[in-house]
Amino acid sequence: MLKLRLRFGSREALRRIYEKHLDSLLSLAMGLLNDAGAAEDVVQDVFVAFARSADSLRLHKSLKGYLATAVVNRARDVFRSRHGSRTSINDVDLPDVQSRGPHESVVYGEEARLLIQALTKLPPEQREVVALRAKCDMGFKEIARLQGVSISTVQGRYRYGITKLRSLLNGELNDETNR
Amino acid sequence: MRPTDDVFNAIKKKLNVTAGTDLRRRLWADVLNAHEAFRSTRRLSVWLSVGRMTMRDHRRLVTAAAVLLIVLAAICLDRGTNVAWSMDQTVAALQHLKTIHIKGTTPFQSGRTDFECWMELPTKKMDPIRMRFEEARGVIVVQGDVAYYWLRQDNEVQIKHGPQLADLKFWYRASEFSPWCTGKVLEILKLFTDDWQQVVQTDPNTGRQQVHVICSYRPSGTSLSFVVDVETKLVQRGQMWSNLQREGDPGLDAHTFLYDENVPDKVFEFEIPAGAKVVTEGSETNVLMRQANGLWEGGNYAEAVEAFRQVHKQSPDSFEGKLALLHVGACHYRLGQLSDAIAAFQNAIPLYSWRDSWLELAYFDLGRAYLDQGEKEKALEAFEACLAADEERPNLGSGRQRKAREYIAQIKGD
Repeated sequence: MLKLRLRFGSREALRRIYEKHLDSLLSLAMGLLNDAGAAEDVVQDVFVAFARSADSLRLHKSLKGYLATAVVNRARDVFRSRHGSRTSINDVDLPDVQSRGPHESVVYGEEARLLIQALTKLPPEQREVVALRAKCDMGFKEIARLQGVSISTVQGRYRYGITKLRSLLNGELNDETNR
Repeated sequence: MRPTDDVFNAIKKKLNVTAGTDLRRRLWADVLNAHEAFRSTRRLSVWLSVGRMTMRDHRRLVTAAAVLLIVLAAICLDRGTNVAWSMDQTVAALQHLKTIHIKGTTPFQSGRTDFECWMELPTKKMDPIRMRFEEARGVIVVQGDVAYYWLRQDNEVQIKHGPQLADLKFWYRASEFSPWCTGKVLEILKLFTDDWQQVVQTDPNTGRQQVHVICSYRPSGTSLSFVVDVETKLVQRGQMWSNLQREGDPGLDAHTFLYDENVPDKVFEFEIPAGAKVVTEGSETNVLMRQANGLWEGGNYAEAVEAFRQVHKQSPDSFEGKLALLHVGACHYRLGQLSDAIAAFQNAIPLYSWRDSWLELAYFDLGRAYLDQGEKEKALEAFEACLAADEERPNLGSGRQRKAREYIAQIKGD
């Protein structure tokens, strides 16, 4: 219903979608990029594009999956542009001083930071699978479609990714999640 | 539990990144802008396509006619019982204006000080924004994609320019002082506030009908009240509090709104005052500050603390230099170096007499550092100073006040 209302131009529907998914998409983007500024930009681009093209939304598809896929695609662009060209600090469109200090911008705790850093050490394909599974509840089949590979390949990436994360995080996390 | 579950659950439950209040609002404004473009171009076509689809099927046609009749009846009944006013009408009315001149008061030291704000609203989307905000502490002048921010006390002028100013950034700055000036901010308020209430009253002086609106925004601990004239649909008065209950003196009281006044061009001009220190975005200090912020964002606090210290050393009296000292404390705090953090916050506090929310932030962080160190008395003093500092600034308030009150209650309860 929310998607239908959005197609008809409802701001309230857009706001509810924005409020519901903003933080999970930011978490996903941070998990993929480990860069608060880039994560903000990615999520902003995704939401702006989403708001502009609400009429092309497919009503029967998962909205969360749709937005998560858009974040992954945009994050891949950022990743490629970072590795494709080396720019000097002066060439980069850096954020405003007032908006990106320690007291503003995105907010996350010490454990989240450790997890983000560990995720960054995974190959991008594995990172995507783990982040999409954990933060967006995306199934292997959907991820396989996104990555253009077979389901078994995605399952393998997930397994390798988690195993590597486990060794990277060994001792860093407390046992709270196992309780 | 499978061997992989612990790591998976850790990511699921603990990798939580949230958008700060400012970021949330900034992003939303951009999203709303984009959506507005969509609404204006696509909405009709969506309705037409639905209409075409409906007309092809007889049953759909009958159902659609029934629904339409019910909707029309509801609209007629609604008009019969209420004064017709909606936020959309105010937004539409604002779009036909050329200028807005607002006068009001804001807290200053132990009393209140007057402020004035002039805005020339762009007639076309590509027209430059022109605005001037003036009060005892400083002046902000926005001329299209260049903004001047003169801090009277420090006699410092910050100049910001570039394509990024074409967006809403400086409208936000203005909206912190006068959130009812622009339709966009009003729209955002309507969508985001928790307890929007409106009643119709008659102004005893003029006999005109007015809509009185009250609302609050929980995440920032802010509440608002404003009055709209039913006939013109324009805002006549606005007040804002840094608490949810609209208690005490408002942090901002805009008591006079003059629409389409003939504002001379001179109002929107800005001359750098004699002897003022000019800080231009893109200066060496500014770049260094950005590098330091990058280190902070990457979690590299040890290097960030040195970089922020360098910024302060290089330009101790500048905007960045003063802010950097607060960030030095934040880095030490993250590194668990509480004594160093406390020292940095204490050094920073005298630098912030009124500027934005820094003083409040510095006291809040100082309180947390003391609390972590087990020095409850000093923490209590700092949190109380945080609350007191907040009353001094003409800002939208923040969730920190609420948090500071919680800490105070916690300390007093122990």
